[in-house]
Amino acid sequence: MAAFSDSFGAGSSGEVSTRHMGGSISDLYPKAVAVQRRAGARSFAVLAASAKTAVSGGTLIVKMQSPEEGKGGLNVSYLVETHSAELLAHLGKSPLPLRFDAHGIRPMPPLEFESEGPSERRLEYGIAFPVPLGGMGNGYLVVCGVGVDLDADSCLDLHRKSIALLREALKLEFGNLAAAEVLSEREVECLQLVGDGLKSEAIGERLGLSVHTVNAYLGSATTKLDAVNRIQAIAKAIRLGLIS
Amino acid sequence: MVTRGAFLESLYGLNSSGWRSGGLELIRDYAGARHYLVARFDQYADSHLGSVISSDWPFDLVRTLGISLVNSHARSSELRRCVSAFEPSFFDAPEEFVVPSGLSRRVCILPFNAGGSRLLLLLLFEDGLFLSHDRLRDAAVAIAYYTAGLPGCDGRSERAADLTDREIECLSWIGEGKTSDEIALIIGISRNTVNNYITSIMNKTGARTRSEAVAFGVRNQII
Repeated sequence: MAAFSDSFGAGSSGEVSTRHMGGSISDLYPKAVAVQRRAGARSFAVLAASAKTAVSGGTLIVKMQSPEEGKGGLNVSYLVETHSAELLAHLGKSPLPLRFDAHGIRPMPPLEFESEGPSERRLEYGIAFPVPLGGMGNGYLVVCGVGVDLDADSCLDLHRKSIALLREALKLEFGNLAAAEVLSEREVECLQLVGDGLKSEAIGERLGLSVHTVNAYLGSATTKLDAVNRIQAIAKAIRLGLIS
Repeated sequence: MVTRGAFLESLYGLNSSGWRSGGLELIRDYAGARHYLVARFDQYADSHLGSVISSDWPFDLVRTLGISLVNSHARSSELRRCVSAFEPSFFDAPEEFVVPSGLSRRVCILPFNAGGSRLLLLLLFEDGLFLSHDRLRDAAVAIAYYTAGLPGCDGRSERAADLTDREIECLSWIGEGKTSDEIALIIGISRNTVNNYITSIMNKTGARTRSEAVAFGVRNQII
């Protein structure tokens, strides 16, 4: 993370970015800084959440963060260490921003930010904006030590920026995965039928192809998906949404 | 035109008492639209059919254009759906759909996710209206907040099919492309036991092949 914050500045001189392929996540750093400034916050972080399955409870990874100041106080490491479970569970439950401070964490309808007392009497707090994009690219944008009075209007604005940022991150991450998208129609068809429990013989019969041709299609699909066998290819293809 | 602040205030004011009518009309008006349609589709629904939750579209259009747009969105690839979430896109309805006079053929498609469910807001506009993308993006987030309290939106189906921990462990290794021998080595049990687990998985999930069992696991977010 430290290495990352050092390298910021190199590729972020504000050029118009139309290239998705060559970009890297550090291109998004200035956008995250803009959100932090808008919230008058001390620091920010972008968290990526991996899907919750029966095997693993899901994990949160810090993808990008501002240089943390000192150790004490409210910071991202504190949030992730203390409230990982809440953050992961909330993502699948509600799109409302989470407000956290030294006492705890709770979902916060934007109107409530306005009705809080004057900022001097308030505890230092941060907000985590959930970004539920769907099966992939889920995560949070977190700002710590919010320094301005937030109303519903600016809260929505920050949330929109958070969503845009994580969407860009997803595009960058999968930009180089374009190979998987160029599976031919036949390959997709065969994979789909394998996923539905058909054997090669049955697929050949269904599509009017020989078993060997079916196996060849499945073989090339497996290679394109960088899988070791057709079973793993099925798993990858479903996760990528290439088949259903 | 109502400002964003005033719009949000009246919208969230409504939502404190849960899902009620009124909010969708507010969102529609804020976006400058004439008609709204909200539909839900599930990630791995067998039929790929979405279901319309609420709409004030002309009924004939819901049945034809609305349903076909929802279904085609539900069928697109997962990556594409994730990238397009909360982002407005437009679709020009072809000639075969009869759009009432005064309405534009250009439909705004606004996918959004709330509470684990995936939803779609489809908006119809007056003909010749200038659309504000800014307001449409506001609308996407606002409607997600608003629908978060929607009953029955807890999303994921609990279809783990009563697999045991060991079975799930085996299934996830199969999904990684491991053979029975390899799994036996990894978990430290005999090959026959692994095969017994796999047979049991296939019985419980009703799968005919290992591939289908893995597909079941991935579709239901077990592995």
